[in-house]
Amino acid sequence: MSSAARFGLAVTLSIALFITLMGRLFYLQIVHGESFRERARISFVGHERIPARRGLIKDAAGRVLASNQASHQLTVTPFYLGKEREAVVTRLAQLLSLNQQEVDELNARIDEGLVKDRWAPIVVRRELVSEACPFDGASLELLESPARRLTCGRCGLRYEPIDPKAVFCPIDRGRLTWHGVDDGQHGDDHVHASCNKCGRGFVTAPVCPNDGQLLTVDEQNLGCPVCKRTFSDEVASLQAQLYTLPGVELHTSFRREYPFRYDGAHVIGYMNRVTREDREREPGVYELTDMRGRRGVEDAAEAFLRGAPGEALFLKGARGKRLEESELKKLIQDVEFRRSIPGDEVWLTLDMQLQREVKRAFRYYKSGAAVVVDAKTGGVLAMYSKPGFDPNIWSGRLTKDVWEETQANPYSPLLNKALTTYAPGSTYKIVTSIAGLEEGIITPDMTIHCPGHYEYGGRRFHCHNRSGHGPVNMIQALKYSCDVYFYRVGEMLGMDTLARYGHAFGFGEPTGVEISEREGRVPTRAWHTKNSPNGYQPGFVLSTAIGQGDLMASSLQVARAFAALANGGRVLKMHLVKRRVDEHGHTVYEAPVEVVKTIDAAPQHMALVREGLVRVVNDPDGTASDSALDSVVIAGKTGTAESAESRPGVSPEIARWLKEDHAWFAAYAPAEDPQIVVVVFVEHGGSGSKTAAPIAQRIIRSWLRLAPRPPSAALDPEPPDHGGDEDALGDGEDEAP
Amino acid sequence: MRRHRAMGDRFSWIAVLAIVMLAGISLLTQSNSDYYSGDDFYDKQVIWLLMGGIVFVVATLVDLSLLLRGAYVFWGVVVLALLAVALFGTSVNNSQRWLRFGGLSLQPSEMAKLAVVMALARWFHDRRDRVPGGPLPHEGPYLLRQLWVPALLVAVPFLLVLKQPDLGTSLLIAFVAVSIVLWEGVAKKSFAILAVGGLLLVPVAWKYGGIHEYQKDRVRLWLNPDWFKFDADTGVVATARNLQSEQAVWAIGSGEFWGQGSRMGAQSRLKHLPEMHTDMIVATFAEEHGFIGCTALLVLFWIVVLWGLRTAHDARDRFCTLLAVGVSAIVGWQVFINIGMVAGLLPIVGLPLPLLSYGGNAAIMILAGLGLVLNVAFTRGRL
Repeated sequence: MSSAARFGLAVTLSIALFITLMGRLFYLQIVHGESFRERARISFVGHERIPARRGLIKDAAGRVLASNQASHQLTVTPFYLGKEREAVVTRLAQLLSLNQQEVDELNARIDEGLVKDRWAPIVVRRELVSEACPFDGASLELLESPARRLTCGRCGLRYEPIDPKAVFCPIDRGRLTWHGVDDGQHGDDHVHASCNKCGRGFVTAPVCPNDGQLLTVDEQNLGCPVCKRTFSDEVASLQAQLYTLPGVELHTSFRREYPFRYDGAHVIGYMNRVTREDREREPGVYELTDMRGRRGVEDAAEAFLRGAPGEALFLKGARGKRLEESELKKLIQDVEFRRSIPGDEVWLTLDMQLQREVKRAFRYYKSGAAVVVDAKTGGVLAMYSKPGFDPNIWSGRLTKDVWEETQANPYSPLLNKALTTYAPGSTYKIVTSIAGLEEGIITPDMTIHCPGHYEYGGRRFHCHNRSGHGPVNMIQALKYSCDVYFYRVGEMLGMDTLARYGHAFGFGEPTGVEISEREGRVPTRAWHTKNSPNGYQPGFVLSTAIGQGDLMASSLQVARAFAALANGGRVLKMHLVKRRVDEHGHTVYEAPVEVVKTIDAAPQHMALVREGLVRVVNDPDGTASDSALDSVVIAGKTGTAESAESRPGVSPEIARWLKEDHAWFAAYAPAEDPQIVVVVFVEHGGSGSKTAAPIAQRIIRSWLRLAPRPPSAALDPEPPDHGGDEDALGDGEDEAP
Repeated sequence: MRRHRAMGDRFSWIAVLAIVMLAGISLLTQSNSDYYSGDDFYDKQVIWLLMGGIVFVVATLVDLSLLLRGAYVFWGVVVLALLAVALFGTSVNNSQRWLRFGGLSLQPSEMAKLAVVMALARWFHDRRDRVPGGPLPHEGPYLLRQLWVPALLVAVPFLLVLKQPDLGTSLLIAFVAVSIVLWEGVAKKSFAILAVGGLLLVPVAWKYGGIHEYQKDRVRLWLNPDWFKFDADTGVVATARNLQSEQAVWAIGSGEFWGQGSRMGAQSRLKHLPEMHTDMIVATFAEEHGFIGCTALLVLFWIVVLWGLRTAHDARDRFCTLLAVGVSAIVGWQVFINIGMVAGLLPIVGLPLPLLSYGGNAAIMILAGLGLVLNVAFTRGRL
């Protein structure tokens, strides 16, 4: 074959292939083009991600702390409107009671969409609230009341939520009569009111005043004034009507809601949009618009709460209507539906009723924290940090105002002070005591003379009582919180031996609680050599022996140490998550009682220190003698940690506050069979005995009243219409003496 | 002869213009596909095409005799790279095709196309264009038994690529190799044996392995669009009609005569097109630009192929001729198989559309090949 023939043959072949392709394209695009376009128009097949329902967060009694609220969005896609556009807009205006201005706006947006992007859905309504009657188009009216209504599941009585300060009935302005005003002995659960005019019942919390049951929220009842039909769920009725309209769709999404608002916000946390870093850290988990838990349990249990999204192949029929699954299966056989797996429900050890009592006990002070821990299991029954924040506001898009206000707040509302470390003050003396006894440096009866100060290394270390306690033994030293006694013990122990006992009690080590915490610090000689400007100074051990200096501990660490002392030396792993329940209701995780380590100390030494702590509260000359209770023997230790600090550019009031000492009180009760440990920390609160101990006393009293707690004890998420004030229930600073 | 050279030069510039236009169409379509899918392939494709442009210029200027000498070495390196892929390559979509060096990903199967072309060109060059004083040059068509060395040169990379599995590329290598051999001329009897043997190989491979189950499914689907399969393990009707390829056909069809317009493709918009940046890119283009756009696209590709064949025809040395034939065959067959598959003429085999589909290795290798053709055109195929 000649070269020219070969070339000719190759060119012929290339032309043949070219013509084959052109023929196929001609067949597809010209001969059948229109039908393909129509087919493409009426049946779009696509993949869709089905978001998973986020797991609920509940407290120990099953009260919902974080729930999911459905929110509905109505959209129109211009592409599908076609000739029916006018009819669709008219019908929408009728159904959604749009006014002329809104109709014009919608038309303008459809015009714009047809030019720019025919497939971009236009949001007509973000939240569907009240609608028109789907049968005659008349505006629906609320049948009875404009507010949501609460119904008791047991007795069937109905109530309206109301602000506790209200004087008049919000419906007919009749004067209200209030019942069961808080007497300080009981909670505010049973505070309720009735209208003198219409006789309606009102509650400040969704708890039935009749029988204490948790009230359930009714859907708004809507009625049509023309056809007299009633609708229990306007969205459902709307959906049926919308199905016939081309291009109109109802999208439902879920929003996280925190019914208890400020209570326990630090423990629960909130949600917001994922960042690029989140997406990079866990590739393939999040889509751009996903939300993720922040802070608290929402963050710590994110992996369990979020569930797994599903996937569906969907087919849209004519006019942009999504076909039902069964119809879809008739058309195409390989439809894949991967359902989404809802996240696990997370049950906390927290008791919201107790948590709220802690909040009430704290009402006179601006900043601080308190924890209540089960002395036998390490479960955290209450964890409170003041001031708090409303996770409902922090979830989603945050306004600049809120952000700036929070940043400017000198009391750091976002900080969980229960897990932030501070100098624990004299509460640390239990460690020094045990160390002294165990090392044989002191005996129970040995006395040390306290002249009010202690000379050491050419410096004079003062006792908090400048005139001195005279000769004191161990029990007296604890009772009076005599610093000189512990200076002496500390000096004889030495830095590193004392640090060893600090670690034995779990100081300087994580408590194991699920949410993010600080480890704190137990200083050693080596630490000081490395970090102190002048290296290790012999006087440091004296400061550490009384819980000052560079010693740092969180309230929860102090609580763990006291729990260990109370339960015979078992240092427990602290936990907030009690169990996790999967979508089928099976418990997939149950928090075990985990003993991290046991303090190696003689039982009689522990008993001696415990005896000292009982005397602190129950002897008339103990530092916390004002905080004793008749009903139960409390054992505890006060602490007043010097912590004067200064910050530039603060108001004189704040500057004064910053000069005050930190007030501590750590206690357990009952002393003979310790059940709970309460640690109260008041930031710059002054004296531990005057400030912190009464708070702890009130918490223990509330705990006694609540225990044994009835299994169905109902409790009150604050009604959402109470402004942004954390002290909406009236136990705020304005009541302070 | 003079007339030929003048025309060849002008033709070369037209072809270069066609290549530039194809690169432009690639960027336009990548950008539109990004718009539909929310990816950012456009930015990366710009970089790949720029790098490809540099490689194109280098390939135009390089001394072809260097390539002649290096042909077997290049072939050997590529085979080693393919072996490395098989041993420690990175898998994407169950297919082990990549070699990763830090941020750099190499796809040796792309290089294999050019390596096979160069090795075959070298071998035939050595047979026909003997240096003075060497053994007598080969004359007339080849017999089958004389072709065992080129068969080996093709079979090794073919099998290694098939193993990945990358049926599309391995078939392309076979098509290109057969094109070169046929250009060189094969005895009629040998050709008949080769054809019958090749046809017999298909059922044997079907029966005794070598073809993956999913590949068989694609052929079944192509032959019978209503075919479906019952999966005994899970008890569900698994794959029915191949929705993906059907959607590509819908997309092409709904382009009609003028197309729906840039960024107006309904199928693409709803992200229904799988692989819309790579193998299926022509579906997006066809939906947007219709029959007119597709005709223009095919004409541009045909100009490139024709120019390659013309250059081969005009080249003096055997190596240069076969190099141009090989590159033309790569472009021509790849366009035919890719568009034929997207348009539902051929079963689905993964093969990108030259220049248009996203991919750094593919863009650089095809531009290198086209640069070599331009080199041959400029030097008139003299080594």
